Amino acid sequence: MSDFAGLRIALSSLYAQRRAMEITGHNVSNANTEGYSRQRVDLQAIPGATGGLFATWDGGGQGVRVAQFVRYRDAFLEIRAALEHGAEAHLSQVRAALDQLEWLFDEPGDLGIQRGMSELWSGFDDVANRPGDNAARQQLLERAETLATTVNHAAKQVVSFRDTAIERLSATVAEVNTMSADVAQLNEAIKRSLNVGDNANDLLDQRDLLAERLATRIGATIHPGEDGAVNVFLNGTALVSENLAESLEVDTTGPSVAIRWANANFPATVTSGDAGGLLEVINVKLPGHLADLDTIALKLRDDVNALHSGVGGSLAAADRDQSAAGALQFEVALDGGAMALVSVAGADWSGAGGAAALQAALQAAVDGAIGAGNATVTVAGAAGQPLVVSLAPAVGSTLLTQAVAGNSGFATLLGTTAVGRDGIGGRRFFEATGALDLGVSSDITDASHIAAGRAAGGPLDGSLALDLAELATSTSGADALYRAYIVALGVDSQATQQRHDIQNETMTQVDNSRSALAGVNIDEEMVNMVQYQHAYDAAARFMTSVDEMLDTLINNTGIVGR
Amino acid sequence: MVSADYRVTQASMARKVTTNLQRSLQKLEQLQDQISSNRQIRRPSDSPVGTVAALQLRADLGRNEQIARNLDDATAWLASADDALMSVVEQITRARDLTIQAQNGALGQPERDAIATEIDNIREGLIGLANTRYLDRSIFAGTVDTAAYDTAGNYLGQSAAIERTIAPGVRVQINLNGDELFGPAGGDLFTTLTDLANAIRTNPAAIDAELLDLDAGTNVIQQRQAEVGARLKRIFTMQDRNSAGAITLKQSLSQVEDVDLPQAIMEMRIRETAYNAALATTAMVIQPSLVDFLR
Repeated sequence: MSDFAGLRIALSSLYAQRRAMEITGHNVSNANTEGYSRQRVDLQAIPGATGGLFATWDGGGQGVRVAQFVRYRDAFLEIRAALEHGAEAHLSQVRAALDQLEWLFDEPGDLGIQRGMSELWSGFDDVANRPGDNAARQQLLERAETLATTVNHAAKQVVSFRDTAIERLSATVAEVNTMSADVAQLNEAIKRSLNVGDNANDLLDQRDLLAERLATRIGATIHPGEDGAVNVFLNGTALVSENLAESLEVDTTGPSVAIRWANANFPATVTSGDAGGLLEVINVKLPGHLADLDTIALKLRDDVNALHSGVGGSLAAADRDQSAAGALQFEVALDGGAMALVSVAGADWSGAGGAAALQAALQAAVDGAIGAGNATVTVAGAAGQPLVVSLAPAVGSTLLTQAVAGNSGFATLLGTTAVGRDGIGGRRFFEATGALDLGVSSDITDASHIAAGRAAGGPLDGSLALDLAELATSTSGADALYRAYIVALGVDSQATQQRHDIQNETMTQVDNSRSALAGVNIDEEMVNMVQYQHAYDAAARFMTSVDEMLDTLINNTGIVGR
Repeated sequence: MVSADYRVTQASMARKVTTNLQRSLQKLEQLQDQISSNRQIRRPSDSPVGTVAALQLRADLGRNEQIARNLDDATAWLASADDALMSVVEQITRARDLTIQAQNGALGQPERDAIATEIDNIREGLIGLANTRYLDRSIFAGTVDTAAYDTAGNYLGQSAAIERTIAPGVRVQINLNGDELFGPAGGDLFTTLTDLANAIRTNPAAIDAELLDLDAGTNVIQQRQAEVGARLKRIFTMQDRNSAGAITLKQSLSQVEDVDLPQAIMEMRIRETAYNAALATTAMVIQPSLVDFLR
């Protein structure tokens, strides 16, 4: 063994302790760096070389070396963290969307749709109380407009929430594409670094952080690959495979928004992460809410219009013989056209075939007045029962009716027709194809057009408005539908909040487990620092000692007796 | 609790502390919001069950307010009718007294003429009463917008039941139709009075027959008056019930929606204390590390 081996041993220790100290410094520096995993040097004693045949070396060790830089990271914990982060992001998006909806409706409150409907029904009662008062009618119209506008606004907001969500989805997918490309590049860099035996720990951290963000954004799963690479999958299809990254795009052409693979134009299944949550919001939640609002708006339209625009009447059982009445007449106008006379010769309709006979006669007369196919007449009633007459316009048409002065035909045949103050009946109150365009019907151009009473009821009849006001307490009306809808929204939102809170907790736990393994503890690093510093000091001291020993040997040996 | 070999790091501690502080601050904010708005349900998800109750109660309250208005209106209609009928009965009684006077054989033609003229005046007064208006609408004219009777005593109205909703699903008729009250055309009270005046003037022998008609008419009016009274009483009862209902509804709504202030304030104090304690300990715990003790 060489006389100078001691120096080399001391040197190796100085090197190793300094590397260890540097790593400690690196750890401390990155104590707050997101995604950083603490590192440690693995020190290893350098064993003595197996000596040659005639070597005089006794097999003692040759010092210390840095065997490897260990990075504290658990691959399985990473996979789990990716899943939990994805699920959390998904729920967080849905929660935010439901949150927005809840604030939108502002229920229970004084400005919401419920209030608007209550006011509308009260308005009908006020008109019933004072059918001749234009102020009450005007107030009712204002309330109907206000309610319609509130419903329109809510529906518009839902649509705009969806548009915003689509924009955010596009931005998310763009970010995902950039990150996938980065992960692929880092995979390549890591592979090269490891192949030449370099320390790739910090690159690995960066890459893992990106991979986790991919999981958060789009619910990707992470699988360890070869040579330090990770593969990122989206429901079984590779998003990043080693150094190759696929890109995604958002397809907004269909009724449902979808994410597709840019290369193959094949739909990508995204069920987790921000993108998964946004897709659920865009394709399921918001359209569902819009559909619910549509149902409510159409129910309101139909309930009110059924009373307000119904054209029909009845002949009491005793009055079915009209043979002495002469001509029964009333006037009909189609789609705002001129009034045309409908005239039916009075006959004895008291027999079994009376209903059919009146129906045929009326249908022919109506067809003659406004053309065939524009309105359907139905007359029902067995012998001995009242005859019930109704007149329905073809879908999308309006049928206005009016009595002929001095002729009782209208009063008897169509006496229960709702009429405005001008005696014209058949006007619709609301028109709508959905919540977005609910509005007061164009049939009503003046407050006097609101039908408060019935054709046979006289000018101050308020009986119809009374019936309309009573829709307020209907258990199957628009009010009840709306309440059920708001409660369903509340339950959905509450359940999502709870699921999100639980998921958040789970995610935090995984994050804590990870940071328990990978996080930097400053106390620990300080202890290490002291430890390495002492070792360094000792090695230096050792070197000095060897130096002194050599000095003794070289300079002070063999000078006895000089 | 964490297991024994669970490593704790400064960063994870800082994260946990901020999460916990954030959580307790959120709860404080929630309470403060509830107290300042005095509403414990700020949106449906705060309590879906409470929300459905609140929505229903609000709708019921809206209906209740409207019904209170309907009841006021019904009271006014019936009270107007009652007043008018009271005057009508007075006038008829006066006419009857005059007729009895006229039957006194000692009266000469001039006196009888004077009585007949007074009865004519009474008739005109009665037509005026039959045209009693409330809010510019003839209350005995049914559903027409004209007067109930013209000056000649012809009925112009269209008889119909005018109703008010006085409870959900309950309606009450608030009008009396002229022809039901004063008798059908030809046999009405005004014709009777005209005939009576004529009889007094020219044919005292016919007075008795006319007097019978007058009494029959009076009976009808008194019956109707009793009806009006009964309906008014019913409406007063409904008014009481409705305002009691409003109070119950408001109380229920307040229970569902409003914050229980003492409890909320108490809870906020507790949370505040907890928050302050958390802040103080955080400040103490997070500061020192071994760095502070190494020289």
